[in-house]
Amino acid sequence: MYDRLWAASFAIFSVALVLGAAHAIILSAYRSTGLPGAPAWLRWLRRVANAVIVLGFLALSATIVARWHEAGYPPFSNMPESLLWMAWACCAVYFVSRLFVDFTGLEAAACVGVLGILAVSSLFPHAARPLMPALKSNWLIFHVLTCMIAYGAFLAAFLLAILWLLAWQWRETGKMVDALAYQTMAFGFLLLTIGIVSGAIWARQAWGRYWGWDPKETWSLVTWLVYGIYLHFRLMSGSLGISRDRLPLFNALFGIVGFAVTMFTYIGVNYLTTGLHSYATR
Amino acid sequence: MSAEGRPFPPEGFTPSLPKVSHLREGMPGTLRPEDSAEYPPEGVKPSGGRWRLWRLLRSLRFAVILMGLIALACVVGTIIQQDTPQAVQRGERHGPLATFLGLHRLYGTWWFLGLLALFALSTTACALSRLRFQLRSLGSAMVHLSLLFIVAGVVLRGLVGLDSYVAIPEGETVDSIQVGDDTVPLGFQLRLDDFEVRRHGDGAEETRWLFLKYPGVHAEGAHGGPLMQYVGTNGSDALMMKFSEDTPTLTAPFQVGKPLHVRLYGTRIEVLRYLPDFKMPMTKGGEPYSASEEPSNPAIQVRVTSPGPLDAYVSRVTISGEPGREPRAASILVNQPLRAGSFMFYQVDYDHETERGTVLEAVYDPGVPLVFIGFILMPAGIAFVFYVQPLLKRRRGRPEAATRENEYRTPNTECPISKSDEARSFSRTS
Repeated sequence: MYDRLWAASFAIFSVALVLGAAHAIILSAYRSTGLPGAPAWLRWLRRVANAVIVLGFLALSATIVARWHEAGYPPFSNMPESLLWMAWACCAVYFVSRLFVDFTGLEAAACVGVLGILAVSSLFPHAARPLMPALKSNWLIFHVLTCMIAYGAFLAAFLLAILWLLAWQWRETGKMVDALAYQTMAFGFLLLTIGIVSGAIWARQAWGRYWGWDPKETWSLVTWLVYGIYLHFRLMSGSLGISRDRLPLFNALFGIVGFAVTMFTYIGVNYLTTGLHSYATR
Repeated sequence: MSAEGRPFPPEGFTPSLPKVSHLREGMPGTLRPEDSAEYPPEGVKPSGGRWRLWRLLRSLRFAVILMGLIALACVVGTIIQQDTPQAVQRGERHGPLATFLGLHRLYGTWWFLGLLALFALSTTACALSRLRFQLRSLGSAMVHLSLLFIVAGVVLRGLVGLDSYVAIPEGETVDSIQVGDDTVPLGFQLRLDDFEVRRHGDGAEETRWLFLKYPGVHAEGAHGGPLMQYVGTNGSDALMMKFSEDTPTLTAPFQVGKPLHVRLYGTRIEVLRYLPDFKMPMTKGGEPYSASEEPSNPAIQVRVTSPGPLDAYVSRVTISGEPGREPRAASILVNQPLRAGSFMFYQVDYDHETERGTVLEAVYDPGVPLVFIGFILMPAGIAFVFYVQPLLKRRRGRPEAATRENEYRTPNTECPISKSDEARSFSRTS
C-alpha cells in the first residue's frame, strides 16, 4: 500500500507540474505579446493544476499514514521517511503562501520542489527497520518533524530565490517573490530553532549532554547562523554599500547558499562525516 | 547619521562617560571640566580606545562577521577529524601548526571560545544600544537574552560540571566516580541488580569457509549486525577477529575437530571442520575435501550466528543510602535516565563480551536550568518578532510600517502583499 501510494503521489505531482508549467508558459507568452486578457480556459487550467496539487497533498498524507501503519513505528527514522515529511511540508508552505500572494509560476515551483524531494528519496532504501534504542523516544516525532518542516520551508525559499533570479525584471513580481522568500525563511528559521532546541533537549535525555559538537549538531548550528546572518543582513547592508535595489539579489543568494548548507546538514553529514547521527546511513 | 541608517546616538541612550576627576586634562577621550555633561559635545568627536571598542561591539557588521567566523570554524571542525578519546590514548600527533591552533580539539581552543565570548559581548552591546523598554522590543530582547542564558549555562558547566563513565558488572555496587585523577563520591550507593539486552527477532545463521592463508572480510551480520573480520592466525591454532577498526583484535583459539563456541559482540562462532589442503570438487554439489595432509591450503568451516538488531538494553539498579530516602529500585535505559542525588545516570553502553555488565555515564551539570531557560526564550522570542510584533504595529495605527516602501529599511515582517494587491499582481487571470 505504501509503495503504491508513494508512486501515486509522484505521478499526481508530475501531472500537476505539467499543468502548472503549461499555464505559466502560456500566460507569459500572452503577456509578452501584449494581448489584453487571457482566455477563460487558461484560468481553468490554473484551477485544475491547483486541484491536482491538493490531490497530491492528500496522496502524500495517505502515504505517510500507510507507512506509519505498515512499519508499526512513527515514520521519522530514515531518509525516505523524513523526506516524505519534507515534501509534505513544502507543499503545505505553498498552500499557506497562496493565502497571501499570487503570482504565476508558483504552482510549477511547488511541484518542482515536491518532485525533486520524491526523486531524491528514491535513491535510498525504503525498507522499514525496527527502531534502535536511541530512537525510542517521543522526542523522535517532535524533533524530526520540526526539522523537516524547516527544511521544507528552506526548499521553498530556495525555489523562490531561483524564481526571483528568473523574474526580477518584472518589478512587481520580483518584489513579491522577495518578500515571500523573507517570510518563508523567517518561518523556516523559527522551526529550525525549535528543531535544534528539541534536539538538544532530547540529546540531554539520551546521551547526557545537550551539545556535543557532533557533525550533525555543528552543521545545524552553521545553518542556523547562515539564516541568522540573512535575517540581520538588511539592517546592515547599508553599511556595506549595498543599495536598496541590490538587496533582493543578496537575499536570493542567501536563499540558495542557505539551502545548500541545509542539505549538507541533512544529507551530507550522514554520508560524508562520522558521528552519533551517522546511524541514519544504515 | 551612521552608516547603518539610524540616528546616532539613539534617543534615550546615554553612554557612561569616563570620570573626569581622575584623568588628566587634555587626555584623549576626556572632556575638559568646563564642558557640560552634554553628549556629544559640539565640535568634539568622541575618540579614545574605550569609545572605539564600544562602537565596534555595538556594530551589527561586527556581529555578523563574528557569526560568519564562528560558522567557518564550526565547518573546519567537521572536516578535520576531531580527537576521540581513543585517538588521544594512541597519542596521535599532528603537524605543528595544527597542534598550535588546536585544530583537532577545535571546539575547546582558546580562540574558538574567545570567538563565542566576543559574540556574547557583541550580542549584549547590540541589544543594549538598540532595544527600548517597549512591548515591541520584547521579542528581540527575549531572543538575544536567551543567547546569554545559554552562554551562562555552558560556562557554568565548564567550570563546575562533572561527567564520567561508570562500568558496573552485575551484582556490583559503586559509590564514587573517577573524574580525571579525582575520585568523586556520589553520596549514595548504586548497585546493578540485573542487566538485559533485548533484540528484535532471532538473528541469522551463516555457514562459510575461512581460508587461513587469506585474511579479509568474511562474515557479515544480518540486519545490520556486527561485521566479523577474520584478521589471520597468530601462528598457532587461533583465529584473530575484529569487528571494526576501533575494536581490539580478539583471539579465539580453536581445536581441530572440536566445536568452538565464542561469544563475540553477541555473535557465536562454531568451527565445524578443518581441511589442511582445501579443494573444491569438480562435480557440482559435491563437498570440499582435503587433497593431502600437508597444510598447503588450510581452511576451516565456521557457522556464524549473528544476533538480531538491538531493541533495548536495560540496567535494573537499586539506589540506597540517599539521605532521607528509602532504598529504591529503578530501570535505566537509553532515553530513560536516572536521577539520583545531584547526578543523572545515562545508559550509554554495555559489556559486549558478557552482556552482563552495564556502562553508565554519570553527569553533574548545574548549568542545565540556565540553558533550558534560553531554549524556551529563544523560539518564543523569534515567534514574537515575526508574528506578534507586526500585529502590534498594525494596532498602534502605524500602517506605514507595513507598506512596501519601508520593507527594506526596517525589519519589516509584515507581508506587504494584501489581498487587495492581487489586482496589481503579475498574474491577472485568477
